[in-house]
Amino acid sequence: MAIGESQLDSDGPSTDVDAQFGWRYTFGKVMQDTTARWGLYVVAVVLFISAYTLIDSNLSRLTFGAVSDFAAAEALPLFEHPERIPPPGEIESNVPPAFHPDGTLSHPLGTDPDGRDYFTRIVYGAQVSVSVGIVSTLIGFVGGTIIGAVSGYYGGWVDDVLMRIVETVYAIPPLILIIVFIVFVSGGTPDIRYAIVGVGITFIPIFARIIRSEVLSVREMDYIEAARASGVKNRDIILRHVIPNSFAPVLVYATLQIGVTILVVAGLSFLGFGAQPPTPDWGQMLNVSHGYMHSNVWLSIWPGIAILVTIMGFNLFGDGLQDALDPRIND
Amino acid sequence: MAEPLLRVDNLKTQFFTDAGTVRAVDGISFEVHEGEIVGLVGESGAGKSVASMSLLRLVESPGEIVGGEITYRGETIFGLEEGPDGELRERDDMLSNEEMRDRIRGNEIAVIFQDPMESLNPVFTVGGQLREFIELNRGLGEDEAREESVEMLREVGIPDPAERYHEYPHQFSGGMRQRVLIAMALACEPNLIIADEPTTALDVTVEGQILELVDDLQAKYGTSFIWVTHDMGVVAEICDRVNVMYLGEIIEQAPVDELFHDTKHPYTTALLNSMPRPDRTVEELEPIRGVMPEAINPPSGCRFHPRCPDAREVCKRVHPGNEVVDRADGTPHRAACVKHDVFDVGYDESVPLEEEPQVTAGTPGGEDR
Amino acid sequence: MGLLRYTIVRLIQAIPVLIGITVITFILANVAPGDPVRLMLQGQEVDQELIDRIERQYGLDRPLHERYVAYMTNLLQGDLGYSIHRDRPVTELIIQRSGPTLMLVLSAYAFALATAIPLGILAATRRNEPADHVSRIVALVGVSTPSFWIGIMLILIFAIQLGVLPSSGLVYPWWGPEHYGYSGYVELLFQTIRHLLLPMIALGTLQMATLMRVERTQMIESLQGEYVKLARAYGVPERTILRKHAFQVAQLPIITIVGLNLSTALGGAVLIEYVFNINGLGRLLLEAIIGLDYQLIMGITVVIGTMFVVGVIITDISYAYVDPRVTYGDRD
Repeated sequence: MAIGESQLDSDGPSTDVDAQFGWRYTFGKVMQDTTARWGLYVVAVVLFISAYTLIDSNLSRLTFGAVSDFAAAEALPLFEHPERIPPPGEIESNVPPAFHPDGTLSHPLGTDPDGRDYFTRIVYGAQVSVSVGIVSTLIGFVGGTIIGAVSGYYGGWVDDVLMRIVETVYAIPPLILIIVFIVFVSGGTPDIRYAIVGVGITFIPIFARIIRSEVLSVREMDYIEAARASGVKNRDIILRHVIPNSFAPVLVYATLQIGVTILVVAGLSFLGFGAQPPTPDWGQMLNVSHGYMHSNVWLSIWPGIAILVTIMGFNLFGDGLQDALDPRIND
Repeated sequence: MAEPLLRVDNLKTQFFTDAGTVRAVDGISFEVHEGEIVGLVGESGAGKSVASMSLLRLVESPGEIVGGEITYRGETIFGLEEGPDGELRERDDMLSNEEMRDRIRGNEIAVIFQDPMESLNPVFTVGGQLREFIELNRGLGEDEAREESVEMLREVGIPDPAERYHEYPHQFSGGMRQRVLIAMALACEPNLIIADEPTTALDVTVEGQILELVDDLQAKYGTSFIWVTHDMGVVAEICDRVNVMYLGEIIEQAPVDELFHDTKHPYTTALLNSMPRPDRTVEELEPIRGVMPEAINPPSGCRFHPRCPDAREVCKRVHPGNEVVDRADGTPHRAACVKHDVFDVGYDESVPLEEEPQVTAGTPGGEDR
Repeated sequence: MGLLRYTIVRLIQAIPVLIGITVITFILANVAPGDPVRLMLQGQEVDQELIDRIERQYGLDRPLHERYVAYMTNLLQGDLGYSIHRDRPVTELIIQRSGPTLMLVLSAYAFALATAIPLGILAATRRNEPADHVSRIVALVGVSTPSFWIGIMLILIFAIQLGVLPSSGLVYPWWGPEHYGYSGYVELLFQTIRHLLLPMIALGTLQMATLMRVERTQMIESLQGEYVKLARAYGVPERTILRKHAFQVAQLPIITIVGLNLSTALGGAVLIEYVFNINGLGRLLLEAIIGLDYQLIMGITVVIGTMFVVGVIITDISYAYVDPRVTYGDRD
């Protein structure tokens, strides 16, 4: 057991992040690093687009009703509605991107087989990827924090049982576990909500491991001893002392994990277990375009680039954050 | 006196960091003669290790030897000359990197590092590592080198050397590993061994055993040593001549007896007073005032003046060289302190500095007006 | 002897995890809302008698724990159940489809190691030089790109645009040249590689990127080690230091990472098999899901989980073999 387990424990960020580093200091360090700064810019842009489209689509839905309502599309300020299939007379399906001789500037990235503007769908795709990425990571984060904190604080058989469960979940490749989860729990009708929950639950063990090793070191601190000696309840010690003091490295890890989550969700949607048509989602768009690889190459290119850029942004930012918080890994 | 084995003249090694240039070694000169153990003493950060690595031309980036001359048995390890365009360039007779590697490192000058725990490669057997260095530096074949390795392990007092040859470093205790490192150095049959704080990481009883071992082996092989340490006790026990370093400079240089009994530099005095001795109680121990400043921004004048009990106003202005202040049996005793007559910069007339000379800034009518 | 004991200890330690995998899979399969038999038959018009018969056949009329015990009893005898859609034993189907998946995953690892180690070393020795920057960009893009999209792009470029490499299926050398109508073993080998190339790169890129990052950091750390300083001080040539002294130490963490990454590789194989139409375990899983073939889905999950556990044990043992410091079997 000696190696396998110790290595698993150490594959997260290092454990002793200096608590004295304030947020302002950390942010300053991140901004000093060119690549981390670019990561932050990308993340900011993607977050802005997601927020904008979220408000935009919900406003239009509230104002104009259903997606199939043609009026909705015309009233939208900036974009056509990403899910709206144009009426039969107006369909311009499979228009190539603007740089192509047959392309038009009104559809800069072309249109899909149903005649929907591809640029709009790519832009709206950010919303799905980012919200799924953040919500799933949050589920893993919260679940992992609770399990890890309880396990690390109590130790003994509680720890043993919880860690065996965590280890077992770890043993099934995440993508496969999530697929099986979605299929069985949804009873064969996959939906993005099942994907979010499935991904979140699957990532609980990873977070639990990190927070547990943090808690194990925090537990021995004098102030925890003091709190215990003065009769503070265990639950209060965990909530008020142990968790806040074990937080920083897990937060860094969560940032990096958002990138991984987006990657996994893209894979799920590509296989048809994530977002369902007509929702614009990058992975799901790649699923559709898979059937048009010979005729319409661009359909396969743009969503992939969108995924790549988004994940790269989160990874760069996460790396920068990690370097800023942990001076030991500076290379 | 015969030509020294090693001569270091005005050696300067600097580190070029983002924060500025660190003058880790700033113009030191000393000699090592055949069969001698020469001490290089000072607090951590004084530049002792950088100085010793400079001798092998193994200063790591961003460090660089920028000036001075190192001569080993008439060969130039390092030397600069002025080129036709006025730029300094390496001299033609300076040994090339290949020559340094093949002829000097290991077979002429060997080292023993401070940390026996980290210095041996964890994934190779102790014997294998010893054998590799012997093969490389003495040109022996594999079998001969193996026999020689076992022989050397026995020589440094490792029991069952034939069995332990096949063991890994983690199976050895700290003292045993240090013996292995000593075996490595001796096995290459060098003329000079640089021992960089070789006993610092060991506990006292083991330290005593190692010092004894080195003494015996030194007598037997006649190898010269440069013994780098911060421990005056070790110096007294093992060294013939001593160089005391402070902030990149040698501030006193003398045979060991003169240094201890006729100390010429206040820093050396302070070092000796801070050393625990059986004839003194803890109350009598005097730690050196303050901490050593950063080498990146050394104090003006004498670098020791902010911590010096004898400091006077002149010490802030005059930067003393390491001059001969006395002679004992023809051997010069050098010290870099202006209180000695040879400097003649008006020490006696100068005003003594206050207890906390560092905080004079902003004091109206300070002495330096 | 120590190594053998260590192996046995590791195998025994793996038993709870293996049991855990069956429990998780079993629970997931049995919390499904709705009647599994009706789901399985997917709305086909059937009479109640048939449903009852199938339920009896699968033991679905019995309580959960009894069904689990029955499942485990069969599993221990190598029987993973029966695929109703394919009318074949699950074990047989899985054995048949394991070959392609293992071939894909192992070749992806070979590709990843063969590229990551030299590039990581290069980056470590040329720190902050162009070679280092390029390798870091490659690593960053590698960890940020979905493997299935790399596969799609490779197909677009090499199969559709250039037409030089096949875009789907693999050639399995164990079927022999006659099966494919090839002239001999040389052509068989050639075709095997030709078909394997694109999926191997698609699946291996992520592994390459992670391994390259680790290799770079480990080499940098190892090159700063005291033992490297010592070797330099004894005149060991820089090439020997790099290849022997620093390299050997730096490889140890790589072994562990290879084992742990098997999890992502096996998961990624599902996507790559889908993109390249490879008849491996991953595609079998997808097909089983479409048909809601319960026992097949469970069987594949258990087998893939076991593959991962076995993989980690193998890497742990090789680590113990390579690193003399590991004390076999003891928790130090």
